[in-house]
Amino acid sequence: MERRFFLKSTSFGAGGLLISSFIGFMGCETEPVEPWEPNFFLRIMPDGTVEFSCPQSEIGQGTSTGLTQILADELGADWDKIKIQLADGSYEKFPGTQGTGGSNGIRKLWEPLRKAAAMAREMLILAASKKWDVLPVDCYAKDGFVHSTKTQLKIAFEELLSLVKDEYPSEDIAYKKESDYQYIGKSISGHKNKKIVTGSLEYSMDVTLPNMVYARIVRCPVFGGVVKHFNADAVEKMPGVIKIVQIEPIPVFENDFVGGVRSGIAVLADSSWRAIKASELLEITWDYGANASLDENAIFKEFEKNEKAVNPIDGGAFSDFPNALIEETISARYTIPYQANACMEPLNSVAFHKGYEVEVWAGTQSPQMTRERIAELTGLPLASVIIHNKFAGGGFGRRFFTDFVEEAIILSGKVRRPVKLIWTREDTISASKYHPYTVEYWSAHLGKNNTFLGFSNRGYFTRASNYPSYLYGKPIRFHESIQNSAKQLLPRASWRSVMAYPWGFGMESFMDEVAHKLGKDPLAFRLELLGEADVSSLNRNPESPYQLDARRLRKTLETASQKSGYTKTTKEGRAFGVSAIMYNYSYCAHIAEVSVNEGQLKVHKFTSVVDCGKVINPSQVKSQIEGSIVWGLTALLKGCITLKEGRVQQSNFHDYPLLRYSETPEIEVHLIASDHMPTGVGEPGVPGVAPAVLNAIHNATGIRLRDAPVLEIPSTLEAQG
Amino acid sequence: MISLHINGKYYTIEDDPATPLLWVLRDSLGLKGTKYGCGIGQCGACSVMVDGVSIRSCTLPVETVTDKTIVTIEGIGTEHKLHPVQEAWIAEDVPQCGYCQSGQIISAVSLLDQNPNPSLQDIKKAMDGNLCRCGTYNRIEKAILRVKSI
Ligand code: FES
Ligand code: FES
Repeated sequence: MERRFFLKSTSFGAGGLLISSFIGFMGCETEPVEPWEPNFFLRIMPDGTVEFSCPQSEIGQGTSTGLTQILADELGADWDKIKIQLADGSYEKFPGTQGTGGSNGIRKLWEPLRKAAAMAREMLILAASKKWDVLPVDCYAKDGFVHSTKTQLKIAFEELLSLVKDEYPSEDIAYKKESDYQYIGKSISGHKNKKIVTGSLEYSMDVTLPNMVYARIVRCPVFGGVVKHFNADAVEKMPGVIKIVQIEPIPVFENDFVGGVRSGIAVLADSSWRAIKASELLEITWDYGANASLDENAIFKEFEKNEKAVNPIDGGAFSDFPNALIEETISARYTIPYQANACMEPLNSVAFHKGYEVEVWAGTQSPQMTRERIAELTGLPLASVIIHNKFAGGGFGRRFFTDFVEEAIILSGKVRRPVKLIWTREDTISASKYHPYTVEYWSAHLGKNNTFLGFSNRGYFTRASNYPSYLYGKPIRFHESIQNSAKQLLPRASWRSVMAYPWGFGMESFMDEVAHKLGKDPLAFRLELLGEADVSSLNRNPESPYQLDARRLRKTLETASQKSGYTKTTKEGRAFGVSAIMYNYSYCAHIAEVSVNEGQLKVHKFTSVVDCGKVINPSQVKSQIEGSIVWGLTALLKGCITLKEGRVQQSNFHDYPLLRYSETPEIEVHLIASDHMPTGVGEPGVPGVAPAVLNAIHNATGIRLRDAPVLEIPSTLEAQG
Repeated sequence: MISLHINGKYYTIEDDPATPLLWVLRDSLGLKGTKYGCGIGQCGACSVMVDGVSIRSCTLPVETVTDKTIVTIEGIGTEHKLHPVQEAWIAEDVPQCGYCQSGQIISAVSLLDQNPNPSLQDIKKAMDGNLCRCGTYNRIEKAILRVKSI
């Protein structure tokens, strides 16, 4: 009763409510209005701000903007009143929806977030309808108000805060109709853009705490090596140096490399620059360990030996064919080098180990797992580990791994002060975790009269039997993944599109090779297979709203063909190259246009078509595809990570270059209009980039290149492997 | 003690004179819009304008700019009063992670200040030193062309 009375007495305006709630003015006995938090996603504040606690990380992939659009529409909120915060790591609040990877953000949250927002909306409507004594069905929520269709009354969400607490949402809520969407489907500029362009977005690199110290670690340059002894006498005397700490290595988990810390020496100082400068003067003697004599050639040789010796079949897709039918087999091998993520914001984190509690500020893709790792590391209960997730300057999979937080915790534990740990660019290139060096082996089996029977595939990285990214419908045999004893030569990181990268590189290059062998146009060959393919056997859960469909991939390819004016032959000096990939239920076709003149490759244009189901934000989807093309071209054409005596040979952007603006092709992205469930776009554009270019190079020159990176185009046909 | 003129204000600092301007801005003055990306002049994340020219602050000892006019991203515009270049960046939805964008905008503003009507070639030349791992280059081009056309 009191609440109702209070609301009535102040319902003349939000301002009155606001003032009374904050300063309890004139001694009236009304209780202050509290923020309303109907669920863990959102909170409505007395001033009308809608706080969105975004469980997904924001690393530049745009998910936090897309999710905000979903929330805004379903709640009926005013866009300008939404404040977006990245949620602290919490399995309790966001079970299974907080890890950012696999281009899954929108896909995983589409249902739960809509439901949460719709429930809140229903409760606000119930509260308003009672207040007005009208039926809830005659009310709707829009722009931060509940409106009545019958009476033309409207009331701001914040004015319902006291009333809404007494409401219960009904079990089955109706979602908003698509025709009522104001935000979903619109190209809304990223929510953090205003802050970015004024330099005021706070990354973890920018976090400053009272009494904070800065740290840089010199890590053993050979993975698995340890500090033998060190001399820090000179360093200790340098101005601003606070402490030198030896970091004991923490082994990575056997097969996933998520955590783990390299052996090294840390310098803690009173500024970033002093910590970095001083660390360069450390005299460290290392015991490099078993990897010190190895490089990627050792891995390659072992792969080759392995491939030739034993080749058991480990599974397959679609009905197989008897070996007796095989008249001819053609094979190809593709090598994909180590790559670094090289996020523009070097890895860093701020940690404060207070003894009884730990607090972390980090741009992480895995706030929950980080929390668990830190609890394990410190022996503290989960409740005492607080992970504040920050906007990150790129992640691409690297920030899924927890090493750069573990290190800061160790250091803060030694000084009991907040520590900002900075990786230099050199550290992120030379002593990090990497996309692994991989080799993919493909074969195509032909029967009488060049009939195409099916494929065989063997790779190091392919998790063949559970990897349904192959939609061509023809039988495919997966052979047991290649093993190598130097698996830990460098620790593995996820790297934008992860295992789909070597897979797509091989598959989409080889599709062209098979087409040429059969005397078919590579694009027409793919369309033919996709048109006939029944991939329903790949859909393990018939109840799931996500079902693979080869026709959707076919459509992207057809559209790309039309939009690009694809021809088999060179047009105006340009040759075309094709690829088509499905990745986590999103479909993407690329057509690259290149020319090769006197060994000089120029990538002129990409025409790309994406089907990611319902498009939440066309501009951001296109952005991701544009970025994926730049990413893929960097990996194919700019360089890679190589080893010598166990050490990474590259250290910074001068020897690990990224594609530059002047090298970026024209990019045209088309989106397929679709009513399918929305799916992600951060990665699906990546795996097809390299094969599209390689296929185009083949069409331009007749040269088939199978090994990345491609730093020059050999001038003769014999040069091909 | 060193004095600096940044974004129309005078500051005095006590850093070692050889400290790169980047770290003075970030750690001593709290102007954190200028970013560290490589430390060797390769990426442009640390770009600031010194006497109107876009320069890499990560390799610039602070003692060399004491008598210069420095403008950082914080001096270009504010959230409430955006510079036309910043407006164009938002209109074209340029940023992805955003980390390189202070540097990109500094280079773009410096270009347009000196040459309000740049050709595509001029743009390529002026912007090629700024790396973007997220691959926003084509949108940066569109944004600059958008400013040019108004
Ligand atoms: S940080 Fe200065 S150019 Fe990269
Ligand atoms: S927007 Fe991420 S590096 Fe440029």
